[in-house]
Amino acid sequence: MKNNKFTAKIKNYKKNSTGTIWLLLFAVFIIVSITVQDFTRPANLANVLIQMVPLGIVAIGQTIVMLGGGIDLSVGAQISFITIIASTFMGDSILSIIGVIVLCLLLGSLFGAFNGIILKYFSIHPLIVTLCSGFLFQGLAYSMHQTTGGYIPSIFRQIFTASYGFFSVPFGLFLMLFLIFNYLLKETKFGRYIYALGGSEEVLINVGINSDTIRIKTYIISGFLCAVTGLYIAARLRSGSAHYGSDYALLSIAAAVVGGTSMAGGLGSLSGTFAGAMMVSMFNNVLNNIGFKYNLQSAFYKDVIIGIILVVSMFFYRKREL
Amino acid sequence: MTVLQLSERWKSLSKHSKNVILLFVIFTVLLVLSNVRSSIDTTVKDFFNLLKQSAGLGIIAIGQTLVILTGGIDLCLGSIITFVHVYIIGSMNNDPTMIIPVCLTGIAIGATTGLFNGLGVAKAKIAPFIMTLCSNYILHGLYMIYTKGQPRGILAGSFRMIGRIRVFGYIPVIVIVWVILSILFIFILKRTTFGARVHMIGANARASYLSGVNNDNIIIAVYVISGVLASLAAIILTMDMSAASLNLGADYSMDSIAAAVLGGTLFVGGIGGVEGTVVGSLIIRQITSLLQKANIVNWGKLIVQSVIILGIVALYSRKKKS
Repeated sequence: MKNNKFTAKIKNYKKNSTGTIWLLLFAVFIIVSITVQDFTRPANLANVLIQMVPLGIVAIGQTIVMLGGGIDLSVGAQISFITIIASTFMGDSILSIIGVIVLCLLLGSLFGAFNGIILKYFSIHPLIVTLCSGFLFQGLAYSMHQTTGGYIPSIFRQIFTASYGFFSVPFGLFLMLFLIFNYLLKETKFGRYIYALGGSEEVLINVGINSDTIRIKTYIISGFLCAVTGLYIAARLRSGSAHYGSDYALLSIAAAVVGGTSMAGGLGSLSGTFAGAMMVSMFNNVLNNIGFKYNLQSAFYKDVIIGIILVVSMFFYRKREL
Repeated sequence: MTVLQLSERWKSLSKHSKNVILLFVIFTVLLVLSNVRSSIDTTVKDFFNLLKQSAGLGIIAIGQTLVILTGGIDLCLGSIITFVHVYIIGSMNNDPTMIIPVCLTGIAIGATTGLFNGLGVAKAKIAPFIMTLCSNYILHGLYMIYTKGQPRGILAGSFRMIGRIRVFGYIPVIVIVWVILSILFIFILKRTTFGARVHMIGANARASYLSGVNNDNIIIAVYVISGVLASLAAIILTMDMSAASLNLGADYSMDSIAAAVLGGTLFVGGIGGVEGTVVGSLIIRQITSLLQKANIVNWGKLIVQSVIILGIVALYSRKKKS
């Protein structure tokens, strides 16, 4: 009897892979700290935390969309667009800074709503909708700005990127968003509806809930978080470009999938995504460290390695069912 | 033939054939309209020019059509093209004896990538979108590592001569290859068991499996064909170039999807064919050249294409049940 309970527990544990991914992250962290010199320097560790912020914020949105059974491939283009809007319209006065921030957040939400509304009215797969809308946003971004440029006031940058040792504003922002959306997913009705939407839309509809509204809301959340990321990237790089976001679509999917979110929806958690984003950012940092030392094209190895990691983790999760 | 007979014939045609004929009409109208002020001679020249420009896209779109017919999608064609392109130029290095081995290796690169994709989709059950997006990422990293960011190398003179040959003084080699491949694949899809199975997997994979078809093998074969066609196109496109470019393949993934979808191949799979894709490629290139004349090609193309794809997919999709 006891044995049965134990195996059931293990099976449950496997299903809830959040614990596994944190353990894995811890193991990788230990291996990396032993093998890679200078990795455990406090300054470097603080850097890892800061580097994961943009990816982490996008990945929160991506996870929420994926939990609802969708996917958002347009995040990269949305981020690029926001960096361009921010760097084009921001002036030195406080009023204009706040105005542009509000504008960007609204615009991001609008992009998300656009995806969601198309999904509501036509039975097209979310992959195709967001791929196309991603190209649409990318085209719009190009039409405004074809090179890297623009102007970001220094006060905006200083506030957004300030750091004191281990504590930094961007990481604090990420942590705040993480806690808010974790609460939203775990404790509120709306969060449960998102899981239900990904698990079985049929059931959700039969229970009498408007599944389309829930889906639109998940895409709006994703768009909103893209806008936050775009603002942060614009602040950090003090410019806007149609290329700044291009990696984030795949990276955010990678963070979510490595963190145990199922592509079919309804399965996964934000804390898993947190660990996934951390893992990707750690790999990034390590590859940069090694690449700098041995003069390799580390950025290009990074593409290969992250692609392989994603394929492998999808391979391992493939048999998981609800 | 009387008008009545014609209208009877028209009614008896399938929806797909009607679409293809309509597309041909649209293409001719566009061709005439864009040359309305010029003489017949220039119109003919313009047409041959357009044929030459569309040929590369046409060859790649054949593979894409096959993949979409099985209900998949191939997003790594662009990277295959760039990889094979930089590899050929880099390895040939002005040595005529290397032409054949280098071209064979190039085709092997495409086939291997296709095999990788096919295994991931068919055996590991990874969503085609994500699988091919990952291989796109991996290939991008690989060709950047190979070229170290600066592609170099010289093509052998005799290799470039093949690209300059004009059959009957008008028709470039690439167009001949395109025509032959199109006819071959129209035949394969319409008249062979393999073609019927490709259609059947897209229409109903379960039924296909139950009737004793080895779905996995067909899917793998389709991805391999798509990879091989992409590398073939890359070889022929390379003949026309003097220097290597890292941007050669950038647009081809999206262009080929647009061409296939415009030609009436449905994203859900099972319906469509290469004959539509041929016209689709022509129209896509026509639009590109019109945008080039208006000098907004870099961003206008992204917007126009995404709107076209979304519009057509929305047109074909049934409205969701309320």
